[in-house]
Amino acid sequence: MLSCREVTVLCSQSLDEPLGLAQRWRLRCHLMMCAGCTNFRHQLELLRNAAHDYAHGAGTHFRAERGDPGIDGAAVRRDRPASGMRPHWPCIDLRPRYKVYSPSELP
Amino acid sequence: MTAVTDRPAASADENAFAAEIVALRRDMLRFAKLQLRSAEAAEDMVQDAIAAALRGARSFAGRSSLKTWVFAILRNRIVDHIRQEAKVIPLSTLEQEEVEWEDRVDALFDANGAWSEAARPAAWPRPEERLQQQQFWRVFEARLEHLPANTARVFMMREFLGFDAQEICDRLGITSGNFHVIVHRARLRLRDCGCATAWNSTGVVREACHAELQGSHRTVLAIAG
Repeated sequence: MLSCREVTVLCSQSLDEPLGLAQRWRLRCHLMMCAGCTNFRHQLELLRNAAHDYAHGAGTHFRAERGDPGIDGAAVRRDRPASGMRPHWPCIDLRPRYKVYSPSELP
Repeated sequence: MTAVTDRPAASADENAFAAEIVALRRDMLRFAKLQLRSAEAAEDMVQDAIAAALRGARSFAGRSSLKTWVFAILRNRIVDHIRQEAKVIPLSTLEQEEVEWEDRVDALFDANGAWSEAARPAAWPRPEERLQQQQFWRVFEARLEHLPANTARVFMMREFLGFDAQEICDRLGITSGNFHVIVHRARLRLRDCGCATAWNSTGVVREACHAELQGSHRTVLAIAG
């Protein structure tokens, strides 16, 4: 049985590389029983989305309060992935929300 | 940039476009400074990105918001800069950050590795609204600024600039084990920005944020669980 401390390490690692089958399985077993770690995983997903938004120009001057729809409509709801995606691990919703420019397209 | 705005033939449209780009300067500068940790280098890079945006105005074509496009140009410059200049992280500075950090992690868990009562993560209430609040981004930026230098560098290369783990390891001369430990640390510190802002009205967290700005993370880790 993994400890919460070990689970936080694996949750983080899963954002950077695919985990092995055994690790995924042990993680799921722990997460099914542990609300703290489930929240932690969700926090990491949101942090990744936040960092992504920030790197695309969201931030202190994000003008949501003026009814601005957000940069490229990024303010649309996208908290938890659809429930159908939940059982898989990892299930972070990382669809690009901004126009992706390849370096050759940029001046 | 003045070369474009002052050109007599510049149409009103072109001038408006240039003004919009220049208006983004402050945000760009903040973003660049976080990553380059040198005001001067950040200034140069932003200037360069703005000049490129003004020169390449025709290639913009409105396929995204202007800000997304300009930030893509800026990120691209920062990536190039890192690819050219990235220096190997000396092992000694890594170890130093490690020692500082271990105590903080220990405080999050009990002896069996379970969450300690105070540190157990809570859900971000209404996360999507969070990301649209200025308060959230202030806490986010303040915490980024207080990450140890190497930790911040690795985190931002990964999450802002989209380097993959292998390239980061190669460029900075760290092992994949080092890499995972470093980004994990950064995420542990940044993960509850959303909770802190949600609680802001209680005053408790206002104090916590204040403590954070003073560089005292321990208080926040203890309160924000």
